Amino acid sequence: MNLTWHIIRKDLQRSRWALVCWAFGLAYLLLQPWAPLQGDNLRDYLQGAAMLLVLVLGVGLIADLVQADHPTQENSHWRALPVSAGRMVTVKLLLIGMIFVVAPVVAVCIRHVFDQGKSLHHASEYGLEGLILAAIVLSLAASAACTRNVLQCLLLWVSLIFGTGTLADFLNRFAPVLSLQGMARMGMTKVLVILTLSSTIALAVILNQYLRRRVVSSAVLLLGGAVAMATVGAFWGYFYFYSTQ
Amino acid sequence: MNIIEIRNLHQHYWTKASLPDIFPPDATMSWRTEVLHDLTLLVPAGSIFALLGANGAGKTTTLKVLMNLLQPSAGSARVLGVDSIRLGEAQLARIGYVAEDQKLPDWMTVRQLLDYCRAFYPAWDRQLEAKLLARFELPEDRRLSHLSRGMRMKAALLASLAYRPELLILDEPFNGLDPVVRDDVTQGLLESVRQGETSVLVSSHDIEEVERLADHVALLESGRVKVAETIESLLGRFRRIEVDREAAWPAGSLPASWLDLQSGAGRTTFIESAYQPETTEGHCGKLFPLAQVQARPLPLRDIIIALVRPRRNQTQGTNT
Amino acid sequence: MLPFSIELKPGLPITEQVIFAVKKAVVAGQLKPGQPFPSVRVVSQELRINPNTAHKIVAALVAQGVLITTPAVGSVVAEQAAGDRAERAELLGADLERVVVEARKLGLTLEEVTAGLAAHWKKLGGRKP
Repeated sequence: MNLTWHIIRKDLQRSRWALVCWAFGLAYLLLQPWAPLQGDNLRDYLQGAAMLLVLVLGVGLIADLVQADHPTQENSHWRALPVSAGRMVTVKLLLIGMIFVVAPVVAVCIRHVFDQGKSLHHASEYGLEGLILAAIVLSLAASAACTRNVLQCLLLWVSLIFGTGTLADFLNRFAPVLSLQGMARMGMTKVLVILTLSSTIALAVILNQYLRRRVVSSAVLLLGGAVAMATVGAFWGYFYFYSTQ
Repeated sequence: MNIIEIRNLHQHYWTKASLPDIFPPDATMSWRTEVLHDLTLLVPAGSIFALLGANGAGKTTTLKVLMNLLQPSAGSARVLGVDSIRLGEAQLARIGYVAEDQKLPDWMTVRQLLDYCRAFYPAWDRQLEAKLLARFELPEDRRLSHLSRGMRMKAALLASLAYRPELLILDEPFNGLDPVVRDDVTQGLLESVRQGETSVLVSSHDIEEVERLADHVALLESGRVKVAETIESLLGRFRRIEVDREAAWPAGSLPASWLDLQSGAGRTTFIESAYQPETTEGHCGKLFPLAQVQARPLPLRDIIIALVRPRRNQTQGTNT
Repeated sequence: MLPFSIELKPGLPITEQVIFAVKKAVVAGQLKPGQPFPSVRVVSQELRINPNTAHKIVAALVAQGVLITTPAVGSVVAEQAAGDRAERAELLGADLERVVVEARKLGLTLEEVTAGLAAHWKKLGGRKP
C-alpha cells in the first residue's frame, strides 16, 4: 500500500498545475450561481470557458496520467523498477477514479447541500452520475492505454464514440419501435446496461494492456465492445420485453 | 551457477515490408522479421559479461527480453532462476537496468529521481548514493531534461547502482560519452560492483572498454551467438603469425584455424585462431622450413574483426 | 595510487602485463619487501580492470611467491631471494628480443647494435633510476 501511494504521489506531483487548474474550473462551474458577476453575456462566456477548460484538461490529464507509465511501451521506466503490473494498474485506476469520478460527484453533492432551494438527491442519482463519469473516464483511459500520445488517444476515443453512434443509428432501422408506455416501463434499464457494459469493457482493456500486454486482443475488445454497445442500444427494447414475457 | 540462462530464444516482430513494383506505391504488408534466431547464452554469476555485435544484431532485443520489457516469441530466458516473464517485484529489486532509450521521468530533478527510486529498493544504500553523487558530480537540483547526455547516463546509472544489485544489465552505456565521462562511469561501476557478488551484462561497441572490464564476451550476429568465451581464452588462442617466406601452394591445404592468410613480397602473415606453441610451430616448420616465424598477440578488436569478417586466404597468384 | 609503474597496452593479456610490472618493480627496488600491496579492489579501480582479473593477478602473485598474505594487513611484498642478476636479465628478455628482431630487419650487425646501446646508456647515464 505504501508503494502504491508513493507512485500516486509521484503522479500528483507531476501533474500538479494541470490538476489545480482543472479543480479551479470545476469549482467555478459548480459555484456559478454564487459568483457576483454583472451582465449575463459575460457570465455565459466564462461559464462556457470553464466547461471547455474542465473538458479539455480532463481529457488531457486522464490520457497523460495513463501514458506517463505506459502499459506496453518497451522503453517505459516503470517496467524496470520493482513495480508489478497489478500495482501500477491499481495506481492509475485509483488516481483517475478518485479525481475524475468520485471528486466531481462529491462536489455536486456538497453543492446541493449548500443549495437551500433544492433537497438532497437520492443516492441513486449520485450513483447514476458516478456511473456516467466512470463510463467516460474509463473509456478514455482505455483509449490512452492503447495509444502512444494524447492526440492519438483522442482520435481513438472520438472514433469509437462516433463509430458506435453511427452503427447504432444504422441498426435502429431494424429495431422494434416502442410505444410510449413501453419506453416508460423500460425506464433507465437501457442506459444502465450501456453504461455498465462500456465501463466493464474499458476496464477489461486497461487490465489487458497492463497485465497481459496483448495489444491485438485489446483492439478486438475495443471494436467488439463498440459493436456490442451499438447492438444493445438498438435492440435493448426487444430484449427487455422479450425477457420480461 | 548461471545468473542468466537463455535457451533457444526466438524473437520476431511485425514490420511493414516493401512490396514489388506491381503493387500500388501506397500498399504495405506486414512481415514477420526474426530478430533473434535460436539464441542460447549462459552468463555465469559473478562475471562481467560483454555482449558485442553490430547495430541490429539483436543485443538490445536480448536485453529487453531479459528485463521482461519484451515477451519472448519462443524459447526461454531465465534470470535469477526465474522465467523472465515471471519477474516480480522481489527479483527486480535485485536487478539494475540502464539503457540509452529508456524513458526517464524528465520532469524530475536528480534529487527527485533518487527519492522516487529509493522507496522501491529495500537494499538501497544511502552512503553509496552520496558517494556516487559526489563522484559523478551531478547537480542535484537540475531537471533530467536539462542534463547533458553524459550526466543523464550517470544519473540513470546512479539510480541503478545505489542498491547494489546482484545483476546489472547495461545497454550500450558508453555510447556517445566523452572520455572523461566514460572514465567516471567505469570507476563508478567498479566501485559498486562486488567481486563475486555482482554480475554485469553489458552490451557495447567499445572494445577497449570491454577488454579491460569484461571477463567473458559473446558476439552476436544476425540474432545468433557466433562466439561466447572468456576473454582470456580468446586472447590465448589468437595470434598474428608472420613468416619471412611466401606461401606457394593452394590455400586449401592449410590448417582450418588459419585465417586471413596474406602472402606476397617475400612474407606471409595470417591469423592463427587455435594457437598452441608446439602445434603452430610444428605446422609452420612443415610448411615453411627453416623460416623465421614470429607470433604476436592480437588485440581483442582485431580478433572480433577477424571473426566477423573472415577474409579469404590469399596466396600469391591463387585465391581460394 | 599504485606503488608500481604500469602502462596497460591493448592486445596483451592484462594479467600478464600486471604480473610482469609487479615483478619488475620488486626487482628494481620500487616495491620493497614488507611493503603492503594494494587490495584487489584498489588494483581493479586504479587500473580500471575487471575485479575478477585483479583477483587472479593477486592470487597468481601470491602463488609465485612475490606476495604473501598476512591475516591483519592483507597482501604484503615477500622477501625476495635477492633478485639475482640472472632474474633481472630475464625480465628484460622480451625487450631484448624485440631489439634483436628489429635490428636484424634493418640489417644491423651485433657491433652496431652494441654501439647504439652504449650511446643511449651514456646519454641516460647521469640520471639515477
